[in-house]
Amino acid sequence: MSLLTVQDLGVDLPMAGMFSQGRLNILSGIDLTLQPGETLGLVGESGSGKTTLARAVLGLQKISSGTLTFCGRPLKDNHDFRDIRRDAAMMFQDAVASLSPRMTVGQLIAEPFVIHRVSRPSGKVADLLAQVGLPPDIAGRYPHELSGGQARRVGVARALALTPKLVIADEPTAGLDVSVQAEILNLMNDLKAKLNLSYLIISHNLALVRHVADRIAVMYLGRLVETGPTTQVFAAPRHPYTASLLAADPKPDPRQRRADLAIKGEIPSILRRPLGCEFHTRCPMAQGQCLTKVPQLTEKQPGHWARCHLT
Amino acid sequence: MTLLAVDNLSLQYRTPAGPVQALRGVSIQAHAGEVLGIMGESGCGKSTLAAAIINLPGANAQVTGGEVRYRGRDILTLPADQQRALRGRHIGMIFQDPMTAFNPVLTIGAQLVDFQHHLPGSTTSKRANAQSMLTRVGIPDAAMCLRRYPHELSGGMRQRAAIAAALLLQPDVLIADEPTTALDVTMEAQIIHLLRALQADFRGAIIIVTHHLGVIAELCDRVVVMYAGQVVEEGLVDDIYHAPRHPYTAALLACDPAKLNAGGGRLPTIGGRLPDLMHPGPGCSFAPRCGQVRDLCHKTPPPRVAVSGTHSASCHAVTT
Repeated sequence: MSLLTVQDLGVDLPMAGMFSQGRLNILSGIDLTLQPGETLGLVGESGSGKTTLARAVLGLQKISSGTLTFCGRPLKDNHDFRDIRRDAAMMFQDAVASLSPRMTVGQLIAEPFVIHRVSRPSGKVADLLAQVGLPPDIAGRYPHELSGGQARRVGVARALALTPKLVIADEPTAGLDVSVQAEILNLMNDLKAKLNLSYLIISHNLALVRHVADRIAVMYLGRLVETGPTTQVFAAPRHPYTASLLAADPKPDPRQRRADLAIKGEIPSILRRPLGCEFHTRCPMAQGQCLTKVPQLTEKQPGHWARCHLT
Repeated sequence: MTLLAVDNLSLQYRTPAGPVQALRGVSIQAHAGEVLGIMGESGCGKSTLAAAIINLPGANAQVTGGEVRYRGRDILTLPADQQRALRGRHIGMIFQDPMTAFNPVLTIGAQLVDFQHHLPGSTTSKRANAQSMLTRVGIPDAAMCLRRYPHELSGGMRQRAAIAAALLLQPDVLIADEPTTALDVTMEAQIIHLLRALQADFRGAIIIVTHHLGVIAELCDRVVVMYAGQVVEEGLVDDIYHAPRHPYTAALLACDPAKLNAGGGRLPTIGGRLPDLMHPGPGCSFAPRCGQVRDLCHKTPPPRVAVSGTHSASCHAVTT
């Protein structure tokens, strides 16, 4: 049984303005599954809806259509979502800002037990600190006394407090130096093996996603454009957007400089969603039908889906 | 020709706990026509160095020794008005956050005209200048862009406008502090291409300060690697990435998952942490984290060893 199933998920937000009746479509038609012990990487540019999707899974964002199932249990009302937030924890993007400045690290790590009214075994805070590689005396410190890497580790400890099955990590290493990033990724990798966790990792860092994810899902303007096994998607992307994202990523090797640009222009505003295939405005391969006909997500190879007329 | 030379520069920040030695005897040169990369992790002093070059390092900073020479003149000892005349006109700067680089209550056009106050000419001709520079940096409707306020532009467009602002006065030296950090990967690639295209007809020196190993590899001709307020290695970009000699450079390059060709497995890490720059030890500052450490490293500062004419590393273990 899959751990998390997202079916035909859509999120609409009301437009700004007191009397406005319009609704803005943020996400639509998202289908995803996550197996126990699997790591799924969610990539895309800013504004592609990655974070909104993660928030919708945890019930932090109201969904407009579709269904969510966690461990075989459909998620409908706030009560269901409160329960799932015990089994699915979130590591937020800004590690320092997600910690209350008036609480000590010890209080912050104990907070999930208070919120979910779960009794906390004695010594649990020290255990969690040890698990994420922090010294026990850090429990008395305040967030502003932590380095960026330490704040991340506190975020990991908080996420693990109630022994979840799924951890959703939104940009787990944003703002960290490469050497500290490597430490956090190694830590997450070790914990995954030890605690049999599943991860949903949101990132725009493709090298990071390639390193940690078993499967990858690429989003563009709130739609899933490609999903498949990481090695397969990186070796032979089936959507031109994925191909251009991969080509745009600067390689740390001066011998692999790119001769020309793979992708031009910017992600269009969701207020003016292009007709037909939404990527056609930037696609190097766009043809007549791409401008008018919306492509469907189709299985190009077993387990490898893409939303493109041409590949 | 050497346009800019930083010579044995030392700088400290006064803090309530005591002075922090942010730069300790840094020397770099930027030559006409080259792109120089300054690479290092947070806290290594790279942004302090960029700010010190234009002598705007912050109120609690104090230069304790050394010189910054622009075309042979020491900037740091010039009177304030002459320093101000150099900034922008001769040494341009592109900041990390393109939002805060502009005044939010003035249009882009008004600000680009104001930036040219050193130059002769009418407002109309300055506005025309601004428009052609915006077109040059790849803004599609430059006339429209002049009438917009900074918040009406996307991050990528704002960064392009900031680059246009820096290039308007045709400086000899252009310093870009983390120019692509705030941008998505597709926009980052476009800004890198823009800087590379501009470099072809810009005869000055471009200095890129970043922690992003990919950006340096894409863009720079020469690289200076900094650690704990010092230059630890310097060389041509290919030598630094393919034959690094300082153990820190090698360790830093190995940490990046982009370097690996397949996923999974453990990433190499450096271990330990940055030294306390309030009380730096007598020896090599990387010694506590170094895999090749010897007794000597803890006691004596490492010599700067020239590996070739263009490549040098400050390490006891390096031999020519």
